Amino acid sequence: MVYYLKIAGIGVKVNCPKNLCLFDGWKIFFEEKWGKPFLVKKVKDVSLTIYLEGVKIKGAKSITKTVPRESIILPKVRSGKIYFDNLLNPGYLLVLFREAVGDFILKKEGAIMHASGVVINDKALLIMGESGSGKTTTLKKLMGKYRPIAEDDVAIEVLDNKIVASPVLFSVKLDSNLLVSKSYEVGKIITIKKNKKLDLIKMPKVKAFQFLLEQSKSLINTKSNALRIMKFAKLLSDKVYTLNCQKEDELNDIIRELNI
Amino acid sequence: MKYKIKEGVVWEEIDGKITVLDPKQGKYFVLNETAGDIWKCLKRPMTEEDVVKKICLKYEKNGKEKEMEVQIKECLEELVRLKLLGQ
Repeated sequence: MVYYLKIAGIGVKVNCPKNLCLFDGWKIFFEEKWGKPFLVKKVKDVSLTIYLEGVKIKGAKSITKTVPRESIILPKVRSGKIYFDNLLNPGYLLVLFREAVGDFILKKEGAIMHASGVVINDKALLIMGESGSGKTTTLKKLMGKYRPIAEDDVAIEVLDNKIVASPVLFSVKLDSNLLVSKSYEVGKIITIKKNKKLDLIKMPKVKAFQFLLEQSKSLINTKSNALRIMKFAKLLSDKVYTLNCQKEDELNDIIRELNI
Repeated sequence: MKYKIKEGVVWEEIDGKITVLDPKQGKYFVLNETAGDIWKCLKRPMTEEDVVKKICLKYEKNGKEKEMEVQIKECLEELVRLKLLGQ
């Protein structure tokens, strides 16, 4: 079975052999998404091909003889066999996918950054903050009114002299059907601080640059990657704001009031 | 002996502030003004003496090289300790 996907503007072909009783969850996952934004009938320009090969041993919770190619990094290799012990969970495959797509985005001169975000008035409002700072909670509050563009990772690129954000992948925490399927210019980046006084304060450029680096620190592992993240941190450094508010519940009103 | 920026280390200047990022360590460093000036000298490998001369020229401290030398030496050593510079 061949599946075609469109992720962050990239055409992906997934080659999935019949005998691979693909971790059932993953199979359902694909089938459920068929015809939905990410899974398309056919991609004109296939930029990335991912081969999934292997068979699931009946009754066993591991898959053997799995030979991946092209940017798919494998978890464990023992005696010439590759074990996907955790891969029965499709979420884990998403991580592998993310790496493959991430590599490709790098080749396209783009970068992946950590953020969640929604689309407001045709612009992406990205929400950044430390892990556990409530990015997903904030996102969920905003989703009552706006469509999400990212839940954890977002692809950033320069297109027609504009900095645009695209959804990177299926989201692990959200139903991926909810995510928008195209790119939007980045409007503002906000980080939320609990504060009685409600206001939106622009972060000084240098501080914003460091903040953006800090947020994507875990994604920096090579020189080219580091250069790319730095480039985008610099380009985005005049779009970062601290949103002081008391309750995340009030976010929808705040967005209207502060004209975000 | 020349000091040089370590392979793989990248940096950026924003509003006069230098931020250095080392992907190997997964860390970034924000340099103060003097360290930033020294860093910019090292776009090409340079000896300590040449760095001192260049910085003194910038700060118009000609004749006060000795005083500056100590400060610059400490700064270079610190940058080496942080694994951002090599010799």
